[in-house]
Amino acid sequence: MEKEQNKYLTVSALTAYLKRKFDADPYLAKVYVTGEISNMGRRRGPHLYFSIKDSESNAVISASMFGYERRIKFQPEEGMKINAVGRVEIYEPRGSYSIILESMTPDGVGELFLAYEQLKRKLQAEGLFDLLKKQLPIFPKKIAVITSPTGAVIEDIARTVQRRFPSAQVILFPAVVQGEKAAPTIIRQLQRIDNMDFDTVIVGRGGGSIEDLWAFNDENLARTIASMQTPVISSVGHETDNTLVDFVSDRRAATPTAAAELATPITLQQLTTRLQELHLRQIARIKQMIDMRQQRLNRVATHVIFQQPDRLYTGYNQRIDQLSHSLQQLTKQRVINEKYKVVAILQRQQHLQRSLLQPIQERLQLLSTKLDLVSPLKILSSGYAIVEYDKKVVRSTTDITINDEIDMRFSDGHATAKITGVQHE
Amino acid sequence: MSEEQFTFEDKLQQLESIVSQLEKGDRPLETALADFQTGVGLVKDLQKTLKDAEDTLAKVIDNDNELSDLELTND
Repeated sequence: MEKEQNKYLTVSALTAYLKRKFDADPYLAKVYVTGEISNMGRRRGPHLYFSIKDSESNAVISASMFGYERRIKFQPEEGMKINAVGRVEIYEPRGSYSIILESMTPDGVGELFLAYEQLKRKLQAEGLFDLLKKQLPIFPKKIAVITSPTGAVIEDIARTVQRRFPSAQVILFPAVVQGEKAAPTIIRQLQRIDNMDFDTVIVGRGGGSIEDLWAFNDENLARTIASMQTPVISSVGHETDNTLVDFVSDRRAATPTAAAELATPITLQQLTTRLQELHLRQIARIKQMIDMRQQRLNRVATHVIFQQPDRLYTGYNQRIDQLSHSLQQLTKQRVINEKYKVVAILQRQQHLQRSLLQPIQERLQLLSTKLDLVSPLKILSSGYAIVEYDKKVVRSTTDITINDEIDMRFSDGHATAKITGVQHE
Repeated sequence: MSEEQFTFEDKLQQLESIVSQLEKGDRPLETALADFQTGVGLVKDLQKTLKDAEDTLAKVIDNDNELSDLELTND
């Protein structure tokens, strides 16, 4: 009976035993379990308590995660399929067992995430993310948007562009943005746009899970964007979502509105203001140019030469006056000089005359006195007359004939006579 | 070279050099007078050019009602 009695264990002893078994079992120290989250919402501070249940059956296991925020990067939700790693433990006070989780990832995401990381590393090594980012046109005329034709993305973009830069056309290139067909349609639209004349293309999609956004991690899509001629703005998911498209695009926007703002760097308002400012500046500049030239011209035009053009020849007048004055002076002087010369010559002449002629005159005087003494005129005064015919002295009767007119010279004059007769002796 | 090919600046420079030549007064009178006539012609021509420029500017500003209301600012 006592032995029988000894067979019975207390609950706590049994539980302690089971706990030791659990703790010692190496398989239970690290268990990989997959299932759906249920009974979510019993959160106590930093720790998470919920259940993991099979999708196919009602099998369920309690799960706890201590300090969950540093262990997982997503928000666990009711019904979410997860893969979890942890150890199975007995909780002695309650005699219940549960799995204490180290890590947990949404089902499928693990693989996707791995693929994403591998692809990202590959493209990064190729230098696809380091290509020179293209400048976005400042004044876009045509903006292409590749996104779902329904939904907020296109609406937000259209509204923002209309508000900021109404002259820009927003053209929708509809695309599937989720699932198998998404990447090929987006690639096709990108290629179409690159062959057309677009300033900017926005690739957009609203937020979602990594599966929703998976198309935007497509390798071909990333390569297509990297080789685009047209600048690409990506606006995929929310700010925290990273896709390969974000890395290869020229610019990345957190929201469709932000993408539209990037695509229209300058608003019409800013442009108008700037234009007005430039217009006023150019007017001011032209005015200044005109004023400067006006001043320069005034300086020249008001020059004394234009004010008193007679100055051009007053110099000449003065010179002419001076010259004519000088000419007169010189001529006067010259005349005076010549006069002096003449006077001097006359004086010399007189002097010479006096000195040269005087002896001769005296001699002449003497001679003439002498001559006078022997002058036939003297004889005439004694009553003789000289007869001349035809200017010759008549010395013989043969020199004259009857009717000749003769001239008789007396001492005090002449008389004429006619020959009336001639006798030779 | 026709006169139209000279810019305002060319003509202004020509005028200035004519004046400084005339100031020196070392040119024959005939040349000086011819230069003076050219100079007077240039002054008239240049003043007309400037006036036209001002008129054009005034017209442009007047035609732009939106801007003529604005104060000119020196920036």
